[in-house]
Amino acid sequence: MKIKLGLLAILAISLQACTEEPTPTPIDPNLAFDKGVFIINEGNFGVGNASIDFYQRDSNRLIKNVFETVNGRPLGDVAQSMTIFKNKGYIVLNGSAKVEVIDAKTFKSVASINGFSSPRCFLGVNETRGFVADWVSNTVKEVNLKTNTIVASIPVGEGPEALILVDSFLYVANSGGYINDSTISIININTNQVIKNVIVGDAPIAFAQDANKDVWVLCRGDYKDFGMKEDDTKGALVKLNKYSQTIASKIVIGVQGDHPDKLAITNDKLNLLINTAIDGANNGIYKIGIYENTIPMSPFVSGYFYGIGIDPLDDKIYAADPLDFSQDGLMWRYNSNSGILIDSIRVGKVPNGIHLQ
Amino acid sequence: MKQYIWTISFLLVFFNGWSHPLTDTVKVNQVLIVIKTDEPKKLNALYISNFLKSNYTSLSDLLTNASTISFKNYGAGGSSTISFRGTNANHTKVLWNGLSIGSSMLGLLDFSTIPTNSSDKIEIQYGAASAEYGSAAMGGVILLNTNNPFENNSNKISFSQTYASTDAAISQLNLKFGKEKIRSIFTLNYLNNQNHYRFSNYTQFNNPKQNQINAEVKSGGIIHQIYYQLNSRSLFTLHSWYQESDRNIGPPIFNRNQTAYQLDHALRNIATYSTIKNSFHRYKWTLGHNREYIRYVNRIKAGATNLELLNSKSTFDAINFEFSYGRNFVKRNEQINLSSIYEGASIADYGKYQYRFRNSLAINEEFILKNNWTIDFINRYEYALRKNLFASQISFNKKNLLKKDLAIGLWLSKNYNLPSLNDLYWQPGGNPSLLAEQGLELDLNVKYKNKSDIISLNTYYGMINNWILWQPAAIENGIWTPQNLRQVNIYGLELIATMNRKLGAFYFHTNYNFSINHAINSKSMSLNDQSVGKQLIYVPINKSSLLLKLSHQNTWFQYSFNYNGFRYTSSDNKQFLPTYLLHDIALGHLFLHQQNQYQILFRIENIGNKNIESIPFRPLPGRVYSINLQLYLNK
Repeated sequence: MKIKLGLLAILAISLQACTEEPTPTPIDPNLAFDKGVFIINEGNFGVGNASIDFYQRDSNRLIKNVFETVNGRPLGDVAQSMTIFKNKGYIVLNGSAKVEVIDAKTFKSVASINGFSSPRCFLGVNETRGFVADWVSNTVKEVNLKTNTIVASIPVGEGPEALILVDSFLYVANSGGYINDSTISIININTNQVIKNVIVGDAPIAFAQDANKDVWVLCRGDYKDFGMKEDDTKGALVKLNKYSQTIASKIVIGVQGDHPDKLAITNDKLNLLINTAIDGANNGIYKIGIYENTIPMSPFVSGYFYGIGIDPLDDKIYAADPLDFSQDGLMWRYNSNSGILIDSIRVGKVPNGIHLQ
Repeated sequence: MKQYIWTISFLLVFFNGWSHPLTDTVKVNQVLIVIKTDEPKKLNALYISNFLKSNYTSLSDLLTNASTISFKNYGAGGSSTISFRGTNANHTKVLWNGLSIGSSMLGLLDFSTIPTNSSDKIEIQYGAASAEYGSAAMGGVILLNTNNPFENNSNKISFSQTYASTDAAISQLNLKFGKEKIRSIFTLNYLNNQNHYRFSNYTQFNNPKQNQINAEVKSGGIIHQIYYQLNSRSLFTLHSWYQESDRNIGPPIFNRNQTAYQLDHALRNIATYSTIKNSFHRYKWTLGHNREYIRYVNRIKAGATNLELLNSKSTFDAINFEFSYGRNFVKRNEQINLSSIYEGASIADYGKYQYRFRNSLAINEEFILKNNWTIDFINRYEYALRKNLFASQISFNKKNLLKKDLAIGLWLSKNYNLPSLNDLYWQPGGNPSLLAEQGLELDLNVKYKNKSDIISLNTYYGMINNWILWQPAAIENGIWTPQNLRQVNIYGLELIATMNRKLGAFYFHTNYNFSINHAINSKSMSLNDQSVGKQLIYVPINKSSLLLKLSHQNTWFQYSFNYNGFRYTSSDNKQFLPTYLLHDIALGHLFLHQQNQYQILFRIENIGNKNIESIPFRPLPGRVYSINLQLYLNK
């Protein structure tokens, strides 16, 4: 009898011990996305947990995971970038090999553009034309923005990553896919032909255009075999002359193994922000004026960051911190004049950048 | 909750005495209802019954449905990795006839590649046991053993053929034959699963129903074992197992252009010689070899072309030499075990061939005291990675409590787990200066056993330090590296009950498993770390399963459920996979002809046709119909 009672007690404990499932965050029916900061959380590769958060500056309110909240389905795998163009948002999902098109005001899904292998970045030209860098296929795809379909594929260098439009020339940073590349391809968008490949430095990865309309290219440097930094090549900041499309200046960044990877430009277009290490340490954001020719020895903002951006309204620097890559990350905000920390926002998983409207 | 209430009601009814316990001598219609409450010598260990084993063809399906252990199943064609008591896949040791299988290169075993007919007896040892088994036994140990064929000298053929509605055909053949001094066991397994099933793709507009694609699996294996009785005191055995698996891995539903392919070859060879001298000196020599070859290809479809993102080939070899000596006294048993292990692996990502030697000495002293108390000490010293490692275990056991039905045991153990070769040498990121993970565990086990029932209750509390975690070395360069970062506290409870009852002309057999497993990260890795105090990802806090068999003469009906509590998918516990509860039913009949048996079983799994996932975006099959035919020929 004692055994029976004991078993009864055990089973009663079992019943009590059942842990209730967490309740999902309810949907806010009054979401509006007129003004604010979109935070791009790329999520973990292969896990499909990318998300977009929306930060309302005025109310200091963060609305998380807006795509899934509004559209009732997950965004996809690895949100690489988001661009708002002609009242539509283009969210580039590298792991899902698609571009999600949303209404920029309501965030409602308009279309999914498929047919990519590994898209990285979107650039809109006009009502009907847009371009997407497709990393694995070594092409830039032209997209018809009316039909949301791919209409042309333009072969470029290895691992096209970033795009920038200068007049009718589309600059493509060939970051090197599985092998190294050190060129940018320049496409005449009237003919969709590559008119020129310019050698800039190993692994060109990001662009910015300054107040003089000159184009800056950030080169990450080559990792070679990843095993040791002694065989790495150094990163560099390269200025291209707008008219001649040739190198106007080149600043080597740090030492082997430093590898700068993010570039932003202040709203006055006079200062560049670079996320890098210098001399194998001192990780952070470095600030360099467009007329300067050396990188400062100490960072403007210290820390490991996965993405950087600048708010066009109040000039705040946003610096993304993915923490352990398995929990919600942080978006640190800094004063762009002093580099002093203002606050931080707890955002989605693996934040990598911002887009503002 | 409903299933708990239902189950508990059911179990209580069993204990309210309206039915009569069976004994192992009861036989109905000669063969069908032969029920034995077989159990291992150790109090903290249990066998999986042959009846449960015969219901599943892969070890991962069997243990998912018939134990407290949980698995991460990567969808159609994908691998299946274990989580025992909240620990990682590299924390459970799996031994086939004493040889560690799985790869120390990856640090894990894919349980989907292990057919259930690869062993006669499956034993689960609950709790950490590094002192006895060495590295990797932090969550528990699974022993896959062949029965000594001299214990049952008859020649047997058993064959099982299953067809399932996913376009699957599974064949398993076992032959046992031989003479007085030499006996041989020959086993074949073959699986061809096209994985044809539909699921709702919730990542796309209007949740379209889609077909699973690119998930065809073919696997086959051959096992040959020879037992040679040199004389009445000496036995020589050879065990050889070759298993091959050739599979496409279904894409995640968010990108059906991603395809993966994996080829696995595993070769395991073991030779043992054991002898007894002067009645009580026992010697055993073992030489084992385990080779695992894996080729993994990942592609993405871009237009009409398939671009290869990854094409990796790896070979892992382990050679194990072991000597053990034991002797039994009236009040004391002792055993000494010496082992040398060589582990080497070849993969392009290491840059060069990498290997390591591991040498260990383990001493076990068991004292038999008054009043059925025993105290057992096990100490292990291992020299590996130029470091000295120690594991210890002390256990107190008392049997024959309360009418001789009850036993109680207390275990205290210090354990370790070596980093995998990938942790040490993978380029980029491998960290050769990693330390072994260290654990402390306290276990309390109560087991009730009579001739028809076994009920086992385990509770445990443990701490694992230096838990290895891959993290970005420096965020900006995207290179991840493993470090001894975490401390994880594990605690929980397991209830395993097997009961048999007779009610008139009906016989009931039931197996119930219930577990609560907490695995809590207790160390902060940064100021803003929100994973502290949170459950580890993919570890369900609650899990339970029930199998109920109702027999009448040679026909039986069975019902089972498998309840998997929600699992967090982010370390801050903000995202999770929902709970699922699956119900299966089956109807079987046994035909008898002379000494032979022929069995037919119709089965419906997941009768609610639920969409379930063990890993996000990797859908598992909905309702599956199957028919299974088995024959047992005896001579």
